[in-house]
Amino acid sequence: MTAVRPWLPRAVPLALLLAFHALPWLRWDGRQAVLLDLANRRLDLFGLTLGPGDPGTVLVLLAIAVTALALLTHLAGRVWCGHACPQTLWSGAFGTVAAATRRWLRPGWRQQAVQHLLWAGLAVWTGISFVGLFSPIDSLLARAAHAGWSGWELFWVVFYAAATWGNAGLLRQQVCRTLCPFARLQPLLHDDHTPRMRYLAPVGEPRGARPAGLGGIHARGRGLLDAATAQDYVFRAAHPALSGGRARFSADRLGDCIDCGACVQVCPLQLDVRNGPQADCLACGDCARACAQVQAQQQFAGTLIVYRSPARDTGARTRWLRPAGILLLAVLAALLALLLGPR
Amino acid sequence: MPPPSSIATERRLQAWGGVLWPSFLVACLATLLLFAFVDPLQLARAGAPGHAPSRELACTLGFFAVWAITAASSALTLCLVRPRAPADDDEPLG
Repeated sequence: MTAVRPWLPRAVPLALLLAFHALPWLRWDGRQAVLLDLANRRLDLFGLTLGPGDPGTVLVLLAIAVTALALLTHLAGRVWCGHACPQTLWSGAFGTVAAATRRWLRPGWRQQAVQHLLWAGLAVWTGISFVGLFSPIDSLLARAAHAGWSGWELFWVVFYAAATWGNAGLLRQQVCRTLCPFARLQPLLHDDHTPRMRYLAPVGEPRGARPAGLGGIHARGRGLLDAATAQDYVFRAAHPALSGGRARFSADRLGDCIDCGACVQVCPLQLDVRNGPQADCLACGDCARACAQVQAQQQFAGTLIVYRSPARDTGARTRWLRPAGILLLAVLAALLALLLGPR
Repeated sequence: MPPPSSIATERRLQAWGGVLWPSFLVACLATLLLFAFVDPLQLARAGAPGHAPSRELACTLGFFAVWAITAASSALTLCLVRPRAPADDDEPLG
């Protein structure tokens, strides 16, 4: 079985985090590559220099970014949310720091203190990198050594650090669930050909613990369940109170899900991907990676969680050009013509 | 089912976030547009004659002024879309 796996390894969020902090240090033709110089009212953008009378270009650039994000989501699902959104990157980094301090130190005030100290360091560094996009970063850092920041620089570093600390350290994925406008709007861009994180119920169901060494359904020759039966088992497992409890199966009739709960445990939003597609799912792929690991340990044939479109299940070929995509491409082309065309 | 306290927390978070966050995004865009056309120093001179602030300070204050306005708009929307308080059920019918 081939599963499309467009989720990217953990290296990508790390690379993007480093790219943000490297951005103010980037030089272009002897100048800072990205600098919105407030004092002189000019914007440097990789060799492009914009003055006060030219807000149209910035608006077109913003519109291009928004349209490209919509097109990406339409074609590839929520890859932005799971892998590139600053909220995901920073809460991931804060979570990694918290997990590392818990591994190294015994829980208690000392672990808490170290964790918050590291969080504060990360937040302040983020604030400095951010202000470095508005005030030349080399001079900003040079003046930091002898407390030479102006009031507004100090204010924005503190403000941005506090916002980072609150959003990434305290609110985490609450932001994705309750505050993010894109999370609410993105279902409009989805159709049957848009991939999403999905559990292969005909392979996995009925789920359950079993003695080791029985082999997967392919080794046992059990075959796949039909979709309706698989859905019935999923419903019974998800709503035991409504369905009168879960049915018991002999070990050789079980599907490949051993009901270990690893997929729910690693999910940043504590969703159970087995209960069907969920609006809150960020498509980060953590569940799929955890499940693939367990399946490999059990020496089962494949994976139970895949990133693919519902249309693929019905055997339809993926259509890349669909009405919403064509519309977005047209808008993108028009914006690019506006940006690059003659004035 | 999450415990009621976490539902209450989530509601509060949604109310505060729903007011502050969209207004922040719109304020960023509005400030960008405002100061693309208007020199922040000119605005500062008009708003506070006699003081000599820097452009950065004027931009910072301008941003928060715009954010306050957009947040007020978000807060009013929140008030209007909230369900009315339930009528007093103890009142006898007829």
